Amino acid sequence: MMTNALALAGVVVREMYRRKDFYVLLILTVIITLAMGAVNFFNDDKIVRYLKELCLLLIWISTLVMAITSAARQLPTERENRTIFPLLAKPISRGEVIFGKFLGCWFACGMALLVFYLFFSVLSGVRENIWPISLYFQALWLHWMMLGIVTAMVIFGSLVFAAPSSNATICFVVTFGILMMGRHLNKVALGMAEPTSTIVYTLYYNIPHLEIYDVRDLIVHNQPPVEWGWWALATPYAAAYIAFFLVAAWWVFKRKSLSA
Amino acid sequence: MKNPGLILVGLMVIAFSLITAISPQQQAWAEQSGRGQTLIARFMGGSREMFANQIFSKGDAYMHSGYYPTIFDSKKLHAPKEGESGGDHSAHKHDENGRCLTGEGETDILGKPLDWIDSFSRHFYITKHSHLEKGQEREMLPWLKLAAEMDPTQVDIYTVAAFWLRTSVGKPKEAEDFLREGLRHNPNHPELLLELGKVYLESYKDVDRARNVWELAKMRWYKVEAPKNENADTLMLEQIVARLADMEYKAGNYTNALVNYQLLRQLSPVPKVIDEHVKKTQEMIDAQGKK
Repeated sequence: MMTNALALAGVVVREMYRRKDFYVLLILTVIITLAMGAVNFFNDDKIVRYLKELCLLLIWISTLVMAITSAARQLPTERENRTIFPLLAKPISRGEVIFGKFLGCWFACGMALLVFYLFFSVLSGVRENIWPISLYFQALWLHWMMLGIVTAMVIFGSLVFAAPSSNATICFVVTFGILMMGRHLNKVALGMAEPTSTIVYTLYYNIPHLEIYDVRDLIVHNQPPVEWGWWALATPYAAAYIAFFLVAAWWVFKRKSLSA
Repeated sequence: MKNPGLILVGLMVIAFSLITAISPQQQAWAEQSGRGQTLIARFMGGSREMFANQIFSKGDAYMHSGYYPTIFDSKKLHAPKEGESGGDHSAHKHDENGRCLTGEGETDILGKPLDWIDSFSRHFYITKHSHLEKGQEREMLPWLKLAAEMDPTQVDIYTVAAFWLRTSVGKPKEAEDFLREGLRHNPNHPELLLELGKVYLESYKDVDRARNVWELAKMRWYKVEAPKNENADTLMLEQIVARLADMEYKAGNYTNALVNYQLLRQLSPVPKVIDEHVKKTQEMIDAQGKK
């Protein structure tokens, strides 16, 4: 299974790097960050945290755009171009197609993340003269895990929703909603009357808490790294949600007519 | 297309003619819409004021190293502890500008974790309260600058930025420039003048300019704030007069100091403390008279 999935993932990665999305997003991030870095605030060139915050925000937006848009078009494009038929005519199962597509998108995002974080660490190190490599590594890993959950969710969405555009839009809204509100849903639920309180609390327990993987504030405010034990626990939490979405996608894909 | 050069010259003539026609109108439009306005002001118009408070809060969040309450947190940072009166700020220490100092008041804005997800997620964001120090306060300045661009009528933004610029960051010139920018938007505002006087006295040791600025601040207070009667900001006048009185005493101008101490006695919630200053100043005047 793994060989087929990896072969398919390699095709997806090559396809993604042939497209210009990553380069455009990287260049935009670099230009905006450098332009903002050139702004003079009270003749003080030691001010750097606003720049770190902006750069990390751009990296998060760019990688989310990459992950969602690329994962959303994988299966619909194969069906639209009818290339799904020769693909499935090979000795490859539908589960391997799902897994391969997921791995391809996820690996491509991981490679893009490496380049983005390299730029960020150089920028931050040059301006601030500190190199918290362990925190950067933790942030990159957690970011990649979060993108894994999002990618798996989008692949599942691409089998449920009619068009890639609607899937991408819904996934953007859900992802940003969780990132902004996920941490506070329990507090919101406590202030509500029944049965709304139980509904919101159930939602709180069931959604993937993507905000856990956002450690930008720790980097911006030069805080110590996350304790390694807790950091490691975030990985199986992400793996559980990735597995859930991929199994759900496989289950839907198995029952789906491809000719439609 | 026999002679493209001629067409090119023709187009240049048309472009030149258009510039001469459009340029005066464009200048008139620029004057109407407010010359000297920043790009943000031009693009965002009136809506920018809505964002100014948010950005100012962002600067405050930086001051607390990212440990800052959200709208979902019931507790506020530095709110009075349980059993402590809400208005009793004398219960904890303050800096010279009346700001609460580190470690005092309510600092546990998160409370106990509500569930295992809450408990787990707290390992991934800032849960310890600390303040920027040793010049790192400079990190909040870009947000204050941006907030001032958004809403130039918010005087607090200028005074807070100027305070950090002249104290921790050690840039009195930039503090003065920023306050003057504030004064351009809020002409002769007493609070801005009070802060400007501090720059002159504490950073430049320029007693004369500090006196002039504070006298103007006092005068402006009576013109702007006094008519508000009960709503007048008497604390501001108290600060202006206290600064003036102390400065005059240290400069040896005891008569001026006495006038200001007597005024301060009427304004202060603790007149007994001021009585001691009045008495001491009177003794200095008497001693001068004997000489």
